[in-house]
Amino acid sequence: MNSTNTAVKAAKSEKSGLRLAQDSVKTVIPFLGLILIIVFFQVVSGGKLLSASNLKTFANYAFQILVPACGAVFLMSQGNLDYSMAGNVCVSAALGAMVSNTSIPLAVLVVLVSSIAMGALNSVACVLLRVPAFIATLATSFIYTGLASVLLGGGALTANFAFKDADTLVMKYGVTFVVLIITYIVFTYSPFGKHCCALGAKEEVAHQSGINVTLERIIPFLICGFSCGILALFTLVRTCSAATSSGAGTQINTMLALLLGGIPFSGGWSSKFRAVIVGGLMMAVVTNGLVLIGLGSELQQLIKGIIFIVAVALSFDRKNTAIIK
Amino acid sequence: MSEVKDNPIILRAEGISKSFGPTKALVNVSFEIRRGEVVGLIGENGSGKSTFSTIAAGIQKQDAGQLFLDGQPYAPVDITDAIAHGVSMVVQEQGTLNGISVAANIFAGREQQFTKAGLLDLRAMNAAAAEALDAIGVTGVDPAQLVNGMSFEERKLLEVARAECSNPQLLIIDETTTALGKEGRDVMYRLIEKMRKGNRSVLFISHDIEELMSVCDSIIVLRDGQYIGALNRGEMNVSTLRRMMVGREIAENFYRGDYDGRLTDEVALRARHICYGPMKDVSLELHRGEILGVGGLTDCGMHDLGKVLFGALKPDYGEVTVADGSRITTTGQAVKNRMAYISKNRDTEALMSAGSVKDNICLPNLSKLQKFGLVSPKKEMETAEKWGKTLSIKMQSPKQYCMYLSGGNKQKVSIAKWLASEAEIYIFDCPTRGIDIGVKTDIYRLLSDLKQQGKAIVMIAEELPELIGMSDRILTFKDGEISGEFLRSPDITEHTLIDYMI
Repeated sequence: MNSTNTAVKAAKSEKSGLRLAQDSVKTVIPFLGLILIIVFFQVVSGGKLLSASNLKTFANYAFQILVPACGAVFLMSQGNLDYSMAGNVCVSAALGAMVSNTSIPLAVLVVLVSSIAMGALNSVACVLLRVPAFIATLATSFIYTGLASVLLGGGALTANFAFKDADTLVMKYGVTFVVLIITYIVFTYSPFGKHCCALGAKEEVAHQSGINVTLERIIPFLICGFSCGILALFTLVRTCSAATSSGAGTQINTMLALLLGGIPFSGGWSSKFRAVIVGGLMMAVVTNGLVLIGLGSELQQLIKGIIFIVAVALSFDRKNTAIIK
Repeated sequence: MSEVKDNPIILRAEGISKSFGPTKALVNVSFEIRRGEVVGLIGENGSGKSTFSTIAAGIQKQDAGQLFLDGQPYAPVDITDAIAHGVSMVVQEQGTLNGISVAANIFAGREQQFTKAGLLDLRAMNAAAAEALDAIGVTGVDPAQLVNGMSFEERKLLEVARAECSNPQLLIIDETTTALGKEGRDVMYRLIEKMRKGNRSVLFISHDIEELMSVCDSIIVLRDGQYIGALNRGEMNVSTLRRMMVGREIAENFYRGDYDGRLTDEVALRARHICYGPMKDVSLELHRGEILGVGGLTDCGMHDLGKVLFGALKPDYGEVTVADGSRITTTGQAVKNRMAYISKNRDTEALMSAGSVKDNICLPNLSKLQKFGLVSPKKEMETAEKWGKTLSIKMQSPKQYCMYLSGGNKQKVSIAKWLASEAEIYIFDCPTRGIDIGVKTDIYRLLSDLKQQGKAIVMIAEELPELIGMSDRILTFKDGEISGEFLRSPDITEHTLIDYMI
C-alpha cells in the first residue's frame, strides 16, 4: 500500500517463510517415521515383514486399520472422535451372525443398517444433545458393549460358513483400496470434506459462511458407523463367528493411526488425507511387526500405549486446547 | 498545558530497540513522559506501539536501550515487578481468566493480602473488589460472579479496575477503548482524568485520532518501529497526525464526498417486527444501491440485528425476507440468496486464522468452484489469487495461513470471500474495527464501489463519523428500538445522532 511499510512487511513475510518451511518439515516427519518403522521391523523380524507369505497376514492388519481410519477421518478433521467403534463392530457382527443363518444378503444389510444406526445414535448424543464427543461416545461404547454381551450370551455366535468364501486376498486388498480411493476423493475434493476441516478450524466461521453445521456434524458419525459395519462384515468373513472380542481395540488403533499420520486432535485444515495412508500403514506395520517378533498381546498393548503418548505429545496443538471436544 | 511540561519526568525511554527475528519492531526509540501527563501513542498496525508498551509493563524485554523510571534505571523482570514499580497495563487482548470470579480476577496474583492462616478471606476480597469497581465508576457488577458470562466490554472494565487498584503511577492503556461502547469509554476517560489530577501519568494507545486529541496532553507518533515525532496539545491536528503515521499525504476526506443518497427504491432485504434479546419490534427495508448505517450503543442489540438479518440467529419473533419474498432463517439460505455477512468479531467468527487465505476465500464458494462435481484446486487458487490481487492483500501465497497476516489484511480476506461469492446484499458489522488508516481508506472506497454497482449494504458501526461519512441513511438504536432515521446530509452531526442513542 505504501513504501514506508515495505521493510517491515518484507521482514514479516521472511519470518512466515521460515514457518512455511517448518510446516513442510512437519509433513515429512510421518513419511520418515513410516519408512523407519518398516526398516526396523524388517530387520528385527529377520526379513519376515516384507516376505510374500506375510503379505497375506498383512492384508488383515491393513484392512482392519485403514478402513476404520477412512471412516473416522471426517470426524477427526472436525475435532470430534468416536470412542464406541469397537462396540459398534461387535454388535453389528453379532446381529449379522444371527441373521446369516437365514440369509447372507439379509445379514449384510442388517450389519450395515445397524452400524449406521449406532453412528446415528452417537450423533444424537453429540450433536443434538451437545454432549462432548469423548464423553458421549464413551457412554455409548458401554451401551454397545453391553448390548453385544447380551446378544452373544457372554460367549460367541457362529455365523454362516458361506462367509468364508469371501476370505480372499483380492477381496481384502480390493475393498481397502476402493474405500481409500472413495475417501480420498470425498475428503479432499468435495465441498463436504472441506466443510469438515472448516468446522474443525472454527465452527462459527463455517456457520457464518452458510454451512449447515448440525447436518454436517451428524454425517461424519454416520460415515464412521458405516465403516464399523464394513469391519463387522470383515470379522464375519474371517472368522465366521462373532465374539465379545470382535472389533476390540478398533477406536484406539484408528485414533493412533490418524494421530501418527499427522491429524491433530483439534482437527482443522492441517488434516490431510495422506495421514490416513501414512498413519494407517504405520499402525498396520507396528501391529503386524510386533506379532512377527513374537510379542504377546499384553506387551503389544503396552507398546501401543507408549506410541499413543508420544504421538499425542508430538501432534497435540496446545494453543487450541479450547477446541477439543 | 505549559505546567505539565515543567513536571518531573516519570518515564524516560532511551534508544529502545526490539526485533523479532528479522522484523524490527522498535528502532532506537527515545521519548519521555512527565508526571500528570496523558500521552497518546499512535501509529499504524505494526508500528511498534504494543511492543513498546509491553516492554514498559514488563511483559517482554528490549534488545537495546534503557528505560528510566523517576530517574532510576528501570528494567522490570515481569508484570508483577512492573506493578511493584508502579507501572500497570491494560492489554489489547482479553486479559481475564475464565472460571473464576470477578474479585479473583481483579486480585489475581495478589491474593496474599486477603489470606489469613493460609486461607483466603473471600468476603474481604469481594468487598475490596466492589470498592475497586466503584472507584472507577462501574456499577452493577457482582464481585462474586464468574466472569464467564460477562461481555467483552465488562471484562475490559474489570481489567481496568485491576490495573487501577494497584495504584499505578503510570497506567498504560493499550487500544482498550476500541472494545468499549459509550459508557465504557466514559469510565475510562474519568479514570484518565483522575490519574492526571493525582499527578500520575497515562500512556494511552488508540487508533482513534479524535479520541486521542480530546484526551491527551501530547501525542507521540510511531511508524515502522521508529519515533517520528510528538505533538503538543496546541499543535495537534488530524491531517498532520495522519501524515506522520502514514508517511505521505492522506486525502483529507477518506469518507464519501458525495451526498447523492440511495440509487434505487428497489427493496433488497426486508425485516419485519424482529424481536431478539434487547431488540423490540425492529422493522427495516434495505434498498439496492444504498448504504444503510445502523448506529447505537454496544449492547443496544444492533450487532445481533446483523446476525438475525443473515439468518445466523433465530429471532424470537419476526421475519427476514429478500426481494422475491423468500424467508431467511438459516445462513445457508442467506448465502443462497446472495447475502454476505462480516462479523464484528473477525478472529472468532469471520475468519479461520488456522486456515489459508485460499481456504478462507473459497469456503462459501465451493459449489461454484467445481468441475465434474468436485472442487477444482486450480479454480480455488485462481479465485484466491484474483481477489488477493484485487484487494491488494499482502500475502506470500494464497496458501499462507491467515494467522500470519496483519489485522487489515485479515479483514480484507474476510471481505474477499464475499466479493468472490458475488453477493448482492452485504451486512458489515464494524468493518473497520481495529484497522489502520491505510486499509480503512481502502474499505471505505470499496463500500462506495459496491454501492455504485447497485449492491445493498448494511453497515453497523459504533464510530459516529464513519456512520455519518458513509451512510445514505442512518438508523439509530436505543434500548433495542429504532429511535431515529436520518437521510444523508451534510447537516448531520455526531451530537444529533447521540441524542437519539442515549
